[in-house]
Amino acid sequence: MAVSAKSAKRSRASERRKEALWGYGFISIWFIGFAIFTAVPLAMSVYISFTSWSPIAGPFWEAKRVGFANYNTFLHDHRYWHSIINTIYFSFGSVLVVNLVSIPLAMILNQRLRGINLYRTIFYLPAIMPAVASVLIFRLIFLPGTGLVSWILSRFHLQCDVTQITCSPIDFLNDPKITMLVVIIISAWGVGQTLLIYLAGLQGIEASYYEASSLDGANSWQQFRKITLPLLTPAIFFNVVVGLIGAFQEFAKLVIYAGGSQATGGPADSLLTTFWYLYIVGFDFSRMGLASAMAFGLFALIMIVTLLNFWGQKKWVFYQEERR
Amino acid sequence: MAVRNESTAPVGIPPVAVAPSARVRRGRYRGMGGGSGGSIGAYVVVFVVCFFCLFPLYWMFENSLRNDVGAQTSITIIPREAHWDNYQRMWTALEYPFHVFLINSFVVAGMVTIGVTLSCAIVAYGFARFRFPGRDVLFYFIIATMMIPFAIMMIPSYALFINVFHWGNGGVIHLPGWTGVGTYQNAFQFLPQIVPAFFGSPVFIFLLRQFIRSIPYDLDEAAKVDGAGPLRILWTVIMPAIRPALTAVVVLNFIGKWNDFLGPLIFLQDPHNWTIELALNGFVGRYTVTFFNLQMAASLMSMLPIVVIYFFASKQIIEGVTLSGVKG
Amino acid sequence: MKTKRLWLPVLGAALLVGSWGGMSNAASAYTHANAPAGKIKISNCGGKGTVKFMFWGDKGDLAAQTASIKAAEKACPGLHVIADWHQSDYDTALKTAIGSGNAPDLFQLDGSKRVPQYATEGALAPIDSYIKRDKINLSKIFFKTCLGEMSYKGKTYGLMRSCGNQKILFYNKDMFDAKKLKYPTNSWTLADFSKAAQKLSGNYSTSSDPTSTLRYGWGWHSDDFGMETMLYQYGADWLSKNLKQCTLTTPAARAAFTWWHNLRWNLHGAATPSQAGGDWFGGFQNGTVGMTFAGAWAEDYLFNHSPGSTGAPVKFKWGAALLPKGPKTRLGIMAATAEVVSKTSKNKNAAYWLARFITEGQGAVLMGASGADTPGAKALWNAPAVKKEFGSLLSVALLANNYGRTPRLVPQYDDFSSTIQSAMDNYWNSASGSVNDATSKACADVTSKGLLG
Repeated sequence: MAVSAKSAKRSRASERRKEALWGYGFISIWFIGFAIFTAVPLAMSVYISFTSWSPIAGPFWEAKRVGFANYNTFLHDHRYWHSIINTIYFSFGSVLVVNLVSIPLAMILNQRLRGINLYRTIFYLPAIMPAVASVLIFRLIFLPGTGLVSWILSRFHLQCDVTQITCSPIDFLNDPKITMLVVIIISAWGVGQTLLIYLAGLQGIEASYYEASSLDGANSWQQFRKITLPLLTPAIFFNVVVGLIGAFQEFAKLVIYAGGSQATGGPADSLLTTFWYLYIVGFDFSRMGLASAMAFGLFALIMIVTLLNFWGQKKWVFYQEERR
Repeated sequence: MAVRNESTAPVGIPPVAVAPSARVRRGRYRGMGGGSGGSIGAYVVVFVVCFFCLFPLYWMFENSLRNDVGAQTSITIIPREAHWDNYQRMWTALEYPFHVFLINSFVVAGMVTIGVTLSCAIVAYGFARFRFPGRDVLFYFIIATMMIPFAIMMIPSYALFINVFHWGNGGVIHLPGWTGVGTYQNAFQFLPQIVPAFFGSPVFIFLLRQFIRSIPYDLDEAAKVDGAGPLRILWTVIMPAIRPALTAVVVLNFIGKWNDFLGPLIFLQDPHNWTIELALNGFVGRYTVTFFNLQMAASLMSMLPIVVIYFFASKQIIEGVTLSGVKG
Repeated sequence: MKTKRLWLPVLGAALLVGSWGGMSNAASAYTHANAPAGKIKISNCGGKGTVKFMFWGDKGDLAAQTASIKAAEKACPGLHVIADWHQSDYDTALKTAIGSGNAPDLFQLDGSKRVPQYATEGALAPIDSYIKRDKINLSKIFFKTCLGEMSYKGKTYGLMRSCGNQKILFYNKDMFDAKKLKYPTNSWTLADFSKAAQKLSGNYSTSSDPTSTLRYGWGWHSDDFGMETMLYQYGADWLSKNLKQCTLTTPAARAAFTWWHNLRWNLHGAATPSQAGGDWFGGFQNGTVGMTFAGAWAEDYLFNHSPGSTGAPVKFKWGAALLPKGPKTRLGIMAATAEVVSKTSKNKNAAYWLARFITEGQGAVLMGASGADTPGAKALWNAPAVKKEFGSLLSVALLANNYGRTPRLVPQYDDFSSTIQSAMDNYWNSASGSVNDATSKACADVTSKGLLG
């Protein structure tokens, strides 16, 4: 009896060990990949940021170590700070525009419209279009002089007549004051992503809330303020955090809008974001060490913004129910 | 998606606090104007938005049929003349015919998709069905790594793949003549895109783990009684059961990699290796004159496969996005 | 733009290589310093072994390169050349090849910007000892105006494949006819240029293009080459001679920039790239812009469009003249292609021999015949195929090579020029910009970033 219990215990223990081994075996795939393709490069990145490595000169471990010189250089680089401002402008601008457009849209879609699935499919379509192609289309639409937007503006006398030689039409492609704004507006075309999440958020709100409040005589606006918006805050929070992290690292849209040349930051650097700048410094100027140091600067910015977001969420994000 | 964009998903937030699977009575917010069926105004707004979503695509098509200076000389909504030969010209305008780039895109996106789907399914299975010390901590660790932005990975990845693995050039692959693709002189350049995909991706590990956990354990037990080992169970029980989720992973990955611009830009330097996105970029700065018609024709070709996939799998895509909060 | 200029000067025509035919007869007409080009026996071939040669160019150029490589292998038995051709992204591909420990033995560099950087970072092997051994006099063989781009800090690194003044004035005769203006001449000044540019701007049609549309005198061009040439006309430069000081803030430099700014914003004589429907050259190509500055490579675009080249023949009649003279000089910027030997090459002698073979030897003749490549060896310009290819442009192009100068270069050239361009853009892109602010900012930025020599 005692023996068999013991052996049963042992066999259960060995079974558990076996199970654990299987488990470790399965998940080790990810951890091996993480070690090789993330952990090692991260360590390398720190090292490279203290060297003057250029791929022209040879492998990075042979590069001269320069201490904090790279950090010192980029902290005093006007272009770097200019690019930080552009990054903030673009990421907050595009996230704001996209969210402001998608919340009302989601609410409209959430009504009992006929063919809701079709609309949802159409709304989401631009979001999966390749960034390069979609920006090329908008470059054409915003072509100054003979582009569609320019033509409409002239037609309604909102700018000079583009058929006259003295007319310098609003140059959406080259005027450094407005290029970034146009790219932000363009990013609203890909609103489908956030829209879907808001839609799911709205559909997750229990109808009983509205029924109860209607009984209390609340009007639509009050319902929106007191029920919809608070219950949508988790989705808003999610969209803002994800949107910001993505926008901080936007590359293709800006590069293509600037005309496809990666080596300059658009007219007067008006589109030069930090991510793009460190690409230029690393891959075009071959100053990989400096670019690595800059990357840590950008990393710090992303971390600060994300942590602020998480810290701030306690104050305004309202969770409807604890999930399992 | 794949390796690069995983940084764009956040930590700690359950990807979208609102999974449609939540069995709550779904409310329909009745809108500011009240009314139960949606007002006329709502329809108007919806149609206008649909117009804005679709018009640029039409404009692209319309411009792809214009003559070389059409975009700069006139505003027409319906093409006056249709230059279908623009597509032919576009096809051969770059150093290699356009189908080479299409094939490259299919290869890169396809391999990445296979890699991510298989590896994520295995890892997710490990987390969902096996008990071992430290399981939850390790899982949260994986989720936390989504926070590492690609910005700091870009340069060391280049250093790793170029300096250490020597994947910067070389690797000759001769293809038979009938493929019309010719010889890849620098096939190694594909490896930095493809190899890491076979080691999983946090977002999709999360997504699949959630799905596997929702499958009744009895199925596993039954298979176990029949003498199936863990791998057999994964293949015969789990994989079929999570097919909808796998479809979403496959499609989102494929679209994500197809649309990727930066990864290929860094590693695929031989024009013979270009994916469709790089080829499109090749159109932009190539000519001293801007041929908008050819640009638009090429853009349309780059979108077509995506549109076709979307047409067949929009339901899975939309569900996948809503569940994981990930765009392709 | 960056990559474009790399391959523009070397666009080639394979057909002409074929038509070369009686090369040995033609070659006897050359007047080289000591022997006819192509007849030069390049000694010390060293033979034996493999040389990996990396170059850029379009498909037409590739054919010419292949022919010249075959000739090299024939002339030097035992030599095996591996050709590594790139049409675009040459720079990144080259860096990656070097970074992968797989550097080519011989490769091309854009002499107008890259040699100092690659030399400073130790990727290049100096070739002075070989030059001494072979007793060759570079300035007798090659155009002097480009030689400065082949060396850095007293050491020679490259042999010159091509050399050309990048600022020849090309004009659209149809537009001049439509406005009843006299064609530009080799003795034009900037004042003549400005007058014509203003008169050419307006809404009208030409004989080759009957649609009435907006046309402009000049296509705006303010990249590094454009700005440097503006400065040269006024006797200014962006760097002091010792490369240690940014000189954009000098009165001469500011006067130069103000003149061009005025032409665009106040006199309405220039189109922006987007108004021109392309870039500075594209606007000329599509008939929107009446005058442009470009190198002799433009020939391949304008009328002698060769297979494999990305140009398109124009419909209008065109002509070329020297760059208009500014208050001080008539100097255009010279750009050369350098053939350089890698420091890590295990076969330097053979690589150097190949470099000579393709810059002044028989390979150079084959390359020179491809036309759009404006050869760096002077003797090649007497070759009938080159004469035929360049036609009426030949005399102007040859003359222009005497009215040129090499830019002053710092090792971090890209960073330097892109920092300056970004600061200056604020001035170029607005009617009310301040030249003093822009130039001061440009100088402050490059200085604080430690980009000076």
